[in-house]
Amino acid sequence: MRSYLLRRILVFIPTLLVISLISFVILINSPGDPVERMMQAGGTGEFIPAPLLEKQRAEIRHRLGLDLPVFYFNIQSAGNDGISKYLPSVSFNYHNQFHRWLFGDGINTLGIIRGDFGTSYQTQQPVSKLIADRIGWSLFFTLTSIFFAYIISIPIGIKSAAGRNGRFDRISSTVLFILYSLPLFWVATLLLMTFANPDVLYIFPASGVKPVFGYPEESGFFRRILISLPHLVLPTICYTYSSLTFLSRLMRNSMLEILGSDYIRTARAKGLSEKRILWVHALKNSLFPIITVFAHVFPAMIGGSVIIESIFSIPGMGNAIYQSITTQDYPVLIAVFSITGLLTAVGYLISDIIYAWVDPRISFSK
Amino acid sequence: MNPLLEIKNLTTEFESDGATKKAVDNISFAINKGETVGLVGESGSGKSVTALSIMRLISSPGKISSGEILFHEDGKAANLLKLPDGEIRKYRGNKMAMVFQEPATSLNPLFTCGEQVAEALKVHGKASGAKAKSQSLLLFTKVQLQNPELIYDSYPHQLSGGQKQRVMIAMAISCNPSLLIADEPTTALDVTIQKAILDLLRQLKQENGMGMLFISHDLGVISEIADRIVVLYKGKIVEEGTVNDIFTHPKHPYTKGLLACRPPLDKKLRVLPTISDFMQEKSDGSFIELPRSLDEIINTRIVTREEIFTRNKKIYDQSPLLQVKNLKTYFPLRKGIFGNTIGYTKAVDDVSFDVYPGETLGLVGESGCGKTTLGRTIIKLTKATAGQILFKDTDLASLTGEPLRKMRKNIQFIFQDPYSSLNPRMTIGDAIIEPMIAHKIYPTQQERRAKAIELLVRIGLTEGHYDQYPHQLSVGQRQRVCIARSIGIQPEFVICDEPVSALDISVQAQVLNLLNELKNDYNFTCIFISHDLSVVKFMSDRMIVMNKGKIEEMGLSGEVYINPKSAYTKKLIDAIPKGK
Repeated sequence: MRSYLLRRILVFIPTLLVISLISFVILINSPGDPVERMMQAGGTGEFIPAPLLEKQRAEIRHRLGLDLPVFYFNIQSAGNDGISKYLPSVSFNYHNQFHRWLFGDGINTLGIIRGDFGTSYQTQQPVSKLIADRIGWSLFFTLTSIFFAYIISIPIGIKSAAGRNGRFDRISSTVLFILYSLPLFWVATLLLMTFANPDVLYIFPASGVKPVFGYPEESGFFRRILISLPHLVLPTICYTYSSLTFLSRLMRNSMLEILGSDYIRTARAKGLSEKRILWVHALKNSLFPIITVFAHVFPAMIGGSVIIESIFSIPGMGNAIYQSITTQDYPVLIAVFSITGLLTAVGYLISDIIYAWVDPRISFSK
Repeated sequence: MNPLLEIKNLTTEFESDGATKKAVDNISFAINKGETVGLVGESGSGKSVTALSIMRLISSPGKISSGEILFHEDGKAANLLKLPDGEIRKYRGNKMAMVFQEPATSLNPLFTCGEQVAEALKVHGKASGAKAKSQSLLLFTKVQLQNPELIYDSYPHQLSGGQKQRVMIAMAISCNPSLLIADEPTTALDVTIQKAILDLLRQLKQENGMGMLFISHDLGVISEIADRIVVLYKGKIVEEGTVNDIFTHPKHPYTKGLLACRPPLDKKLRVLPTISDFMQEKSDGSFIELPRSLDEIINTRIVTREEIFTRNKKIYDQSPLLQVKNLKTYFPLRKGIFGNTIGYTKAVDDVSFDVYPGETLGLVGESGCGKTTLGRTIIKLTKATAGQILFKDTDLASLTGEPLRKMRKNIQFIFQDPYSSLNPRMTIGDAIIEPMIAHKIYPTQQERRAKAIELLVRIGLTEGHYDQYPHQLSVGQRQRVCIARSIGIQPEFVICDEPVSALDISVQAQVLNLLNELKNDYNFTCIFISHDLSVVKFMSDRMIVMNKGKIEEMGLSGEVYINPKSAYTKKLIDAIPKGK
């Protein structure tokens, strides 16, 4: 078991390296000259004489590290004359753009390893600050929706599998199918118009995640959550319902398959109650597909949802990403891309670890 | 008469596509206290359904439509079919317990064996906590498992098939049931393990005074353990009697067929008798009895010693078709974070033999002895570690790419499991045609189709099967299709890897006969791999007994059987159920 986990974590490191390499390649190939973009954004529109402009350019280029070689090694011809012209000479150097991007140079950038993704073209602020400001709500909504989706879908799946084609199964299947086919923006709008509408029901506030005037002073963390709670209900429903239907269906099918297996028959022949068969013998076995899905749900944490965030005016990542795309703010996009890659890898790592923890057969296989 | 269980007019039906099919049709029989009743029949005859009906484990779309099952206890009788769910649970695992066919899938993979046995004790209030554990350990000792403590903490995948079946038995006898139902408990196991399990069941029955219902498709196995036999055919009881009665005076033609289709050990037959030698089935389900006796059929088919002698002389005067020299196939054992090789599993360990044109060479041994790996190594599905495989003086081990592909046309393989060796999304016709296309045997689709249909008819199917899918065929039919697929490109050499071990004994006889007929028609050489020595003896001219990757013994089939040299061969022969 321990050696399996260790091996799994060792594989994780090269995965991260590959992710960073791909991000970097996309970054340096993104259209437009970052220097020009920086100058445009920073400029005041006044006329600047050409030599000064060139000096400014060089300064920015140096600050961004663009005057360095791209990668760890260069291939050049070994000499200028004779045969040596055709021979390659490979030189390694430590000072290059990739290394600087990864680990920083200690002066202008700290490197992505310390969370420095450079400066946004648009706001001239560090990308990390932008993400830090925005990611909180996205994380909150994703995590709570994962939590609710799992906690609700597992019992629904079990109950409909246990009473296959029974009343509960048929009703829940129909309801879930209808839910699953409803488009998100429509549900969100409908919820707003019904439950946050002074003309119909005015239970929840219509927008934002906190009162318009902010939290009262000196309110603690839990107090703040309590104040925000009415704001969070409708978005959480929107975040949850579609994965909820998907997971219930998955759980039902996996449970049905397990309930038809030989060892469940053995358990029945032993004289166990249906309840114990379901919750002890079948449940653990039927969780595997749901664990696998977890790896896919995990990276959604950073993405957020543009639609929900727009409709409910939530200051989350979805909106930030959308704005960055429209303004071609590549540093932000690359940061999101890299973090999504990281989270995907982490998601797989976590689901593998849960697998190994639940299934005794795994640690023994090669 | 001291009945323990009485089954009266039991009918169990299955509903599919709006039609109801009676899996068990109005059967009645009884099991007395301390008696073992053997229930025999082919797959689909309703044996398992009977067992599951007794346990009330029939799940939808099946349903018990009528009848009574009376369980006698302390002078009172309870009708199991009338008990509410809560009550029947007190019977299951407690007063009556069941052992299933597949030990590999019948234990929950996520719980230790100990937990699963202790659970049975706890649920019926026989023991709790530490006492449940100590009692489970005692049960493991009782079913003769070495190292009970270790077994207690092991997960099912860490145990062998035989060990798992012992755990299942320990679980079944944990609450001292008065009735034990064993549904083909040895079918998935090797013969030697089968013998050990049968011995164990017999002993436990004696010690605990249990009544037992023993289900098998093999009369030979049943005769080893049962007092009385009930023969089931298409959901109906066709014959019932003591073991002696059934074996000496079988009345029903179906019983006669079942008795005859096991390959006999004392003589060599040209063709195995099958059920159809004794009765003719009609399409409406009824049958006509054919007036032939068993002896009559067998006597006309015995191969004389002179015939064997001339055949052997003809075969072994030639130069060999295939020569295997010092073949080794090792699988590395890896351990640690970086998967360092710490040793090897020697699946095939320095094996040398020749195969002569036209011969059938039998390869027999228990699971894990390396016989399948040897077969797979010969056709290069598994890479050889060392050694030579000379086919017509070409070393197969050194062939790659196109020459290897050409050579594969000449060497074909028939796999064990007819369920998984046919692509479920391919029609039967396409499956047979595919190797023809791959090896460019017949140029046009019409020719290939005609050839495939010819083959289908030859193997006893019809043209109508051409466009059907595997799931529409029975197991026996599927294995025939697998055979046709291999034979269709007219190979010179065929390796059959346990082609009949997934089949009922009555179907087994038909498939073995078919293989022999095809061998004569198409004139190929054959390596026949099986764990069943009686089957290998029937099929092969010479046999090789393998054990732990090495050849234990090699010789003419008849001689190896009559005069086994190694102790291992003797053990194998000894474990074959002889029948009474």
